[in-house]
Amino acid sequence: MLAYLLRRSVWMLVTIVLVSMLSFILIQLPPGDFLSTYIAQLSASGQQVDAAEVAALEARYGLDRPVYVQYAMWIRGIVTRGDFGQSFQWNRPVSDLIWERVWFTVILSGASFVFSWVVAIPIGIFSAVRKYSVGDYLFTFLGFIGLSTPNFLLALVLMWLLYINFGVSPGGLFSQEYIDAPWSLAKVWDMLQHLIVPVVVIGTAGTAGLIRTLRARLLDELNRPYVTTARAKGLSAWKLLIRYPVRLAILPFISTVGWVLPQLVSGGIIVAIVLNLPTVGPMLHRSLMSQDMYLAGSFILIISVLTVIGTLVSDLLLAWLDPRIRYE
Amino acid sequence: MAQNTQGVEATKDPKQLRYETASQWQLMWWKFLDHKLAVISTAVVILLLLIAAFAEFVAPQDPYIHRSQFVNAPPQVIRFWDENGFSLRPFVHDYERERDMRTLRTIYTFDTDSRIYLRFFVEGTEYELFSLIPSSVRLFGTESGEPVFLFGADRLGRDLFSRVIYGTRISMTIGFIGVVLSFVLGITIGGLAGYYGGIIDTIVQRIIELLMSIPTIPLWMGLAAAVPRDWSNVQVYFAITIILSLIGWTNLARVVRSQFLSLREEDFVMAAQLMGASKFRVVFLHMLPSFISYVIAAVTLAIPTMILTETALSFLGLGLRPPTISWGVLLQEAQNIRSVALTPWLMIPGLFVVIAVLSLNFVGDGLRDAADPYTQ
Amino acid sequence: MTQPIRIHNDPGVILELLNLRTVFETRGGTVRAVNGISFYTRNDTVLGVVGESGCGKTVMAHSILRTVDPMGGKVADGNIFFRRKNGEVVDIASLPSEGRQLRSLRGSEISMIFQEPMTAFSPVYTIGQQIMEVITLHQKIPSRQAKAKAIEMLGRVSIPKPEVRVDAYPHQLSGGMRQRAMIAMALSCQPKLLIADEPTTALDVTIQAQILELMVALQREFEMNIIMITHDLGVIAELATDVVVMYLGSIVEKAPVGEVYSNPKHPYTKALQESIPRVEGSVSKKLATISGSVPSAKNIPPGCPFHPRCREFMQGQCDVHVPTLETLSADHTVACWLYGGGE
Repeated sequence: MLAYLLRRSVWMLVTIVLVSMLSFILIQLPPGDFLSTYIAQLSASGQQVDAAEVAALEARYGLDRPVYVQYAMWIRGIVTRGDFGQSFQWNRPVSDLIWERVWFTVILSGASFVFSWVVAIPIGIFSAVRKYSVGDYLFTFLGFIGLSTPNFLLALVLMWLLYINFGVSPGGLFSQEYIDAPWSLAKVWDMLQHLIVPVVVIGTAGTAGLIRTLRARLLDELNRPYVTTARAKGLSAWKLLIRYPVRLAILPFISTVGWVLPQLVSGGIIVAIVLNLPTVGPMLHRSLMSQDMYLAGSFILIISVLTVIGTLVSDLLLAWLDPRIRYE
Repeated sequence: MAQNTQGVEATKDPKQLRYETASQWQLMWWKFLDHKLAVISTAVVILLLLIAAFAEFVAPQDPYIHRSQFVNAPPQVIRFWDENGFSLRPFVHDYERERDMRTLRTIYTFDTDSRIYLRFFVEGTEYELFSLIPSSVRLFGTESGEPVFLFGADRLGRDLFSRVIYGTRISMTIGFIGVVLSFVLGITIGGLAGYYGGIIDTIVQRIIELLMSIPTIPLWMGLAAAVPRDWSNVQVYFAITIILSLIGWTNLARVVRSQFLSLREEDFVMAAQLMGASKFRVVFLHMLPSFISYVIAAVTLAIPTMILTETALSFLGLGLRPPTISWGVLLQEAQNIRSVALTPWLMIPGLFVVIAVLSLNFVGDGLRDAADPYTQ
Repeated sequence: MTQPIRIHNDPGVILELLNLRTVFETRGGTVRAVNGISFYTRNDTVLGVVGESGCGKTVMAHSILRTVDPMGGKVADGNIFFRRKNGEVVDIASLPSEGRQLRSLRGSEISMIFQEPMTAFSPVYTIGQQIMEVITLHQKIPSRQAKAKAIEMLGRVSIPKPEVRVDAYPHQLSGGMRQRAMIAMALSCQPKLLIADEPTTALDVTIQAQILELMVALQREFEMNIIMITHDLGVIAELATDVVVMYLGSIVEKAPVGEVYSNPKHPYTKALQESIPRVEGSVSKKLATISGSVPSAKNIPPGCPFHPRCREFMQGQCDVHVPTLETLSADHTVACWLYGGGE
């Protein structure tokens, strides 16, 4: 167990390092560095370019040094000072801009994740137990449609339906009066109401895959000898189902976190842009459109790192639940 | 007694016998035909590909022509009857315009007394089929030469139907070309890992795990945003295709790798090696044919992902850019709730995305089931 | 076909099957896995059921517990009379599927053990948890007591250090240990009938003998009845008192174990007999085999199901008329036209 934990953690660290390199490559990809863009922008708007400030920034990010030194300095800044670089578009340090949005992104992804599980587990069990029933076919078909609909389109259609039927446009995470209000129970309640549409939209995308996975796993497990053993004990059908095959089918299901979570985060970004949520999505979009690369790269880094951590947590959870791994 | 044993054989019905003597490909074919949805979906995919190939012929209008008198015109419905009775020939009603004095917007209604008759194979504007054959015959059009807007018009008065038809060409080809590139990458990398195993396998495994464990959309967005703004449409098209395949190869590589790993231990591969067959020969003559069906299924299932990603990127303005027409580019017009509320028909390209992706998924699903014809 | 129902008149009879038919509806047609079998078994005996794979013996076993229902099977006809601990006789075939009454029998009065000790336990619960489950299910006792009982049972099946093993997961035990634990679980509620479906097939030969010995000892100790299902006549010889020979869903012969070996009547039983390798005798003698293979249960031949493979096949009789069970002596019955049979 300890060895397993250690192995997973080391691999997570390696992944994070590789992801940070990837993010930095993305930052470097557009021609020119952010400083030249910044200077060009300033002079275009007729402002004075302060040579001292330019020199200070250049030294701080090592822009005159080789790329790998720049990478090292970027990472050192993040680790030691929490400094992710400068956003030229906002003319503020990246770290000032991102944390609240990252926080909302975590809430949104987490809620979507819970939603997709809450929907997928009962449906998956139903579909496996009532294999080839009308309900099974219906859910399979709906699942395929869910899988085939880009979730921004689903968001658009939902918004449109809400708009023409109720005259409301469910954008944002808060009602007007709560946007700048301090946190209170009422504000949390308001946020929960606004979360419904995005959570449903983002969650549905992963749900189809989850249902199919659970159904397939459970169908495998239903035919295992231990199910017959348990039935021969005299367990009732329902208890039997939950304690034996479902319990085992859930295990590989937990490992789907590894691919569902990245998918949810990806989907969340686009949906957030359409619904104009105060999460990472819209800001990442804007920063990419204007090639504000330190901001964009930092977002990609943080989102990826959080996803990797989420996956690690699910791995550990799996190990804790499955004695076969625990006692390896 | 021998006679009796034969008696048992003879009781087998001919269908069973035919099944037992069929080749593997035949079995796959039969199994695929069993999957009714997959068969129907194959027809849909072929139809979409035909539309893509003959877009100029199918589209009734030039997709770039602006007509200011049709700005934001709603879709015209093909009818066979109206208040004035039944007609064997399909027709549409003409528009009636009114101006909303407050917003200065044109409000369209339909003149139910008018009839614009539709006909197949009418003369339209000139075009060159496959950029080679000059022609002016369109699949359908109006008798009078009046433009018809089956899916309505956009804010510049361009025919959405024709634009969707042209978009089919870009969106479908980007999926197929992207998959070909992914396929080459996946089969090479996955094959190397699976065939040699050891360190190469470990490294490839880790790279795949890495790429699968991080959210791809931000990555895609980042790469796509890095495509220089001054590139031509063709350059952007290929850049986006390459970006799609750069990340899309992982799943294919995994399929190929696992197939290689399990086949490596099979007796017939060992036998071929012992008989002195070259590595190349072992891989391409003995191993590849035995798992190619799985790969085909995986490839088919990868196409819809490509199409979805292209649509998402273009929708966000990070993928293909106007004047290139793809379904994603068309959906860009429907980006905010105000335009969607006023002109909901701008979401029609999304319907095509769903249909294409759904059909390809069903075809892939049928192929996956058929790839293993021996399971019941 | 009217047969006397013995269980009502003879308190020594614990289980009686009357003309039992179990079918599976598949796309390719109806599979008649158990095609009208009747037999009874008396107190304190071990009934061996032999036959080639696919002869319906496992389905018959699952029919008795009605665990065949969730597998897609259906008891289509016939009765399964069983005498409960309180003396009451129930017809299991008529009980509602997965109902309360049926479940109260399972594990408490009739238990079953299976061929694959590797997979017959759930890998995510400890052995102790799985044994305690059946105890608390049928006896209202606190879990601490149930655990003590589980440890006691593990000791009874000669598992060393039962108080440690009770907390082990199945994958931490060897195959033989697992089968012992399975027997402990099956016996933990003192059932009157234990159905063992090829309990030793998946084990090493040396372990097989130990498990069989254990079962014989426990059968005496618990004064229960065992139905031992196997394709291995050696196993039957070792512990059965009576033998039922099945072929393609039907019983072809039933006799005390000695009779089956010394005086087999049915050509199929004879053929099975001859296919056992023997240590004595000349080495050059070729081992007898049965020609052909078992036909599919979807396509049971007309007449005697064994006639296409039979060495003593009579044209016009065996392939047309179904032989009925003919009583040769008190305990010896056979279904074959060679011995009269039928009217």
